[in-house]
Amino acid sequence: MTRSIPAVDYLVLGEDPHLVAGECRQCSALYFDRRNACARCSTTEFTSRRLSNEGVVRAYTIVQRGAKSGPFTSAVVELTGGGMVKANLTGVTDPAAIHPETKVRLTTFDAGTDDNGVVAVAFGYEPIGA
Amino acid sequence: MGESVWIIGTSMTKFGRFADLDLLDLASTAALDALVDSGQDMADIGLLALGNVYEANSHNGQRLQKQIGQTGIPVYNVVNACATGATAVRVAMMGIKSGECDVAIAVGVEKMGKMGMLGGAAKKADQKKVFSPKGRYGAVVKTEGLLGTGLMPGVFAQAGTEYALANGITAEQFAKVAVKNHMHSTLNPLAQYQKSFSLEEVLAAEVISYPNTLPMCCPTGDGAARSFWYRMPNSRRWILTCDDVRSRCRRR
Repeated sequence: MTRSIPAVDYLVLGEDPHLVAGECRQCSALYFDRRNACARCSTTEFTSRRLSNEGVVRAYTIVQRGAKSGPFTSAVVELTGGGMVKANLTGVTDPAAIHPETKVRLTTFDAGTDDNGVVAVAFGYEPIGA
Repeated sequence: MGESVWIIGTSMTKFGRFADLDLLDLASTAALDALVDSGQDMADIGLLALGNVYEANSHNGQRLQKQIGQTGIPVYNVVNACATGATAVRVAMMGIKSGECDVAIAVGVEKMGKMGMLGGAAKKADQKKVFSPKGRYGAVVKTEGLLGTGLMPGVFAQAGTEYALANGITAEQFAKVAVKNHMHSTLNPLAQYQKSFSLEEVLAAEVISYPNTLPMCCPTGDGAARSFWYRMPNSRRWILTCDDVRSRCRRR
């Protein structure tokens, strides 16, 4: 059986892949990175919170020339119920396909295999009903 | 604290790619020229602030002092991304305002030619590839291009499209900003490139990161600017800096 590992630790794999964020105990601000404190209220205690797999595109760019060969679309997605995340928008490279409030859903894909055969799994977003 | 600080001299090198000039050549050129512009003597300078990002671990303020003199005065090396040069100016101004000195000098200098796109993390060459979570996001692979982009043309493209999606701005409107900026470059002999572009040319150019085409992106380059600031006893202090600012000051 192929072993897999999430590309980043805020992605949870399994039957129902989803994102988790650290949530500030005081002001509920959400973070994906390991935090020393909350940037909004300076509280140092966090809890873990599961985020929605759906949201809307708030910002995007279609990269033609970058570190990875393009075109691919990078997007900032505002998740339903809270959380703002940056990832690739899969299957979209035409700016005309992206409108205000474009709805998207989380999807996962393989992002490489290490020398022990472990597969890194990353996440992106695909338009809903496109 | 209410007394005026005056800009009494400025200079700027041409921006471009200067393979034969190092950071200190550019900084010295701007500094010495601004000194002449100010009518001051290097021995009058009481504080040096030097802004530089990409060679910031090299104590360049002290290295500049070794080249142009006035070692022994307080020197401040500052780094503040795009605002690095402006931060050096602020340090000079605050030094004068606080009464630390009467004349200060601020320098911003950078060697960025051929650096490529800014913002990408350095890639490490591992001997054997074994995925293990690293860093504050627990990443096992390089995330640039995998989880969106953080390279500068893409970062600012996303900042722009956020505004565009919320306010109905078009790619053509963004392109017009580049048309205006390139038109300005033709009037500036120190600009790295002095070429005007039509709206059609900007829109038809190679897309780097939509909606940004090549002429909508900053070139990387080398250059330095320098200002001297001065306080007149009791009422005015001076700093040496850009011509237009100084002119306004003198008219007052």
